[in-house]
Amino acid sequence: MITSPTSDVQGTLTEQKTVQVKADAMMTKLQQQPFNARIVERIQESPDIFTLRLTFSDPELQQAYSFAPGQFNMLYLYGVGEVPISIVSDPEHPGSFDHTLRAVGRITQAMAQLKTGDYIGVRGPFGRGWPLENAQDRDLVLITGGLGCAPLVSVIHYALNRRQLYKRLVIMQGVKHSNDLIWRQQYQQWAEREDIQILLAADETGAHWPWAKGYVTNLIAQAQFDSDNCIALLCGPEVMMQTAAKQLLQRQVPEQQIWLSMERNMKCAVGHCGHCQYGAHFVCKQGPVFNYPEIKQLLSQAGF
Amino acid sequence: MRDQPHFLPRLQLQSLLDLLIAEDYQCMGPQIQSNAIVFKPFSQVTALTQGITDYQDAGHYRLQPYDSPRNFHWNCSAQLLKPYFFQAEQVLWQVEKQQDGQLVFCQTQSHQPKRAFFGVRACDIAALKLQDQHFLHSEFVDDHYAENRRNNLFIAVTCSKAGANCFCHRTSDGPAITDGYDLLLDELNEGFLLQTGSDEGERLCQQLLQTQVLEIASSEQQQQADQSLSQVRQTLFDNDDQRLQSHQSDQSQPPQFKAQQQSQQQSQQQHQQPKHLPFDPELIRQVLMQNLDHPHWQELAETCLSCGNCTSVCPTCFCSSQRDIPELDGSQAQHVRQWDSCFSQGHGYIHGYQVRGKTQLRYQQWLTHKLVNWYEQYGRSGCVGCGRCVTWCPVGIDFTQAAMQICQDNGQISGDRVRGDRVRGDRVSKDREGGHNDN
Ligand code: SF4
Ligand code: SF4
Ligand code: FES
Repeated sequence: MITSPTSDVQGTLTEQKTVQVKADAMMTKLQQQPFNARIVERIQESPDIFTLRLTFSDPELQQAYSFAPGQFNMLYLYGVGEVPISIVSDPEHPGSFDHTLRAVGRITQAMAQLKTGDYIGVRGPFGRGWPLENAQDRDLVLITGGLGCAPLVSVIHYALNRRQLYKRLVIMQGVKHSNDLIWRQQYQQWAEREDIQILLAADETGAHWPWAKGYVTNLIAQAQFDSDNCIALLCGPEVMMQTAAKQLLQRQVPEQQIWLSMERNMKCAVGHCGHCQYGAHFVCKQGPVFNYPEIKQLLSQAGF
Repeated sequence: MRDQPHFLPRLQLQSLLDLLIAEDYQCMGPQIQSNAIVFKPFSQVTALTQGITDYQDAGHYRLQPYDSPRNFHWNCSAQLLKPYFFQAEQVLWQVEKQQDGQLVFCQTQSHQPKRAFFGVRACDIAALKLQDQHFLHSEFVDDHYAENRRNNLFIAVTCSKAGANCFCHRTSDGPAITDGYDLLLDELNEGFLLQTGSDEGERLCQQLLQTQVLEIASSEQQQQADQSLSQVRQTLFDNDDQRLQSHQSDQSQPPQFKAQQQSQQQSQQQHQQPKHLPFDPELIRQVLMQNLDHPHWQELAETCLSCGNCTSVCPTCFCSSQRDIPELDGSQAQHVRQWDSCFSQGHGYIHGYQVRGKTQLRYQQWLTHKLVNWYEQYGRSGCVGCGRCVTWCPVGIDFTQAAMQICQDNGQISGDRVRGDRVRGDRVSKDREGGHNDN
């Protein structure tokens, strides 16, 4: 008996389609309610910063789960509540995903007690991530400050794993105290590479701090990048991002090439609860990453 | 104007009710509770409001006897549709913690009976459309809201009077009801003109015709209903004219908002005093964001109690917060959504930092969201002109006046602009026309 090759291909296509439809349905469900996820590893990054490596206990769900750098999940701690946290790992890393948290609020402080093998709920992913497709063949300028490093760590990993897609890579990070700098060793390793420029600054410095003292925004003048062919990704306190954007504009970076990750009080993550409103924007769905022209008017406005 | 004129005699209102009940509708209608009108289930027309009217003004709500058999001779109640669809409290999902620590989540399902709402107004319908845009037609669909919105019947009633706080004519949401209803009633003393606005409404109407509950409306009855509507419209515009007059006569006087310091008698007087500029949504949209440092914000902030009454009576406000309620045995928890307000402490909170720490910034959020940013979100203003936030403000802040004052003092408004936008020319009398020039 001769089987027609076309019918065979069709069969595979239909199968693929069914799998895709099923995955889509799972992803929709995953935005409506949390699912059980296991902490496969807990890494203490600094006294109050820790990383949770997670995997959905349903392997099918883990397989269907996908996200883009800059997106976030709602992490749920039993009996306490949900908190929005950006995803820091590489989207193509199979089998697990990472969240780096700082114990600052009621929920994150309680989450700091979690151990490897514990379970939490995960709902997501949500929001618009970094425009990494736009960034190809350009110099990548990453500027972060304060606690806001996590959303950009995903980009650093992403770009390093696909180094040939981008031109120069400039990483600028400011911290309050030099002890707050996490991934210090990694920075040192990256700094040795020729195609990466690392500029770090701390407001207050302890012993053995080889980097600058002061604000990270003061270092923008030293950054080497092609203003005509770069993309700048900013993350951190709003004042810092505002100053950084101004300096980039002074260096003739077009404003459409400046992107900022905003933070607001996110409760529902699906554009309903109104808490994350930033002017007319819902940060949870139109952000958290915004193009500078979209929000430049609001940036200097108290109360929004 | 009215395509299918039917007449439902007052004595037959119960027949309509019986029909709906027979069709498994739970009927919800206006009833009096604690000196206010609330919506509750009912099965006898005698439970409905009758022979009463309401008197509303800034920070003021009173029911008064009204010598007439009418059931619906009042304007909006504190709340009507919103709590039935976007519920004040809603369990979103439940979670069970198993022995080994694994969490099993389950989304809660709402199940609502078929419901028929009697006495829905133009502003309620307009507000419902806004809530639908937010919860049903944006990127994510809210399952709970969607479930609550299924199988509802709206029996709308055209307003037969205009309250002092009503301004639906300025937001283009009323007073005429043009769509969004299943049945539309125009109330006369002896009964109701009845029109249909949906297939379900038409079906019910046919049933009523078959059982000879409905009569053919006479042209006189139709005329009466038309007159009543024009009268309401006229009152709304007259109120504007009064506002404008008083605005011109006391422009040099110090600002208002002193209701809370005044004696009862004085405040009574103030209630009679008309408000100032007629509400102008387009103007506000254009200039409010540019006037965020206007000194009037500060005055507002000193008066506003940040209580959130305005946002909770507002039929379009959609904010909510979420919290976890663990069961005592530690094995289960419910995740609950509750109404919240941009006036609350938690609304603008991001770990350790408050985006809107001061009342002034919260008041700005409320006004700019409702009157400016809503356009960008949903293509129109978030205000349907119902006046609830003015009526239920405990210190009597008039939201429309506040917005107009902030937009006007910057030389952004001129008499011409107010007059031109406000009404077609024929309503502006000659002597007042002269008075605008120095504004
Ligand atoms: S803002 Fe006030 S007048 Fe406008 S819809 Fe809301 S409650 Fe009604
Ligand atoms: S932000 Fe304020 S005005 Fe806007 S919907 Fe929420 S409570 Fe209402
Ligand atoms: S987090 Fe609820 S609307 Fe954005």
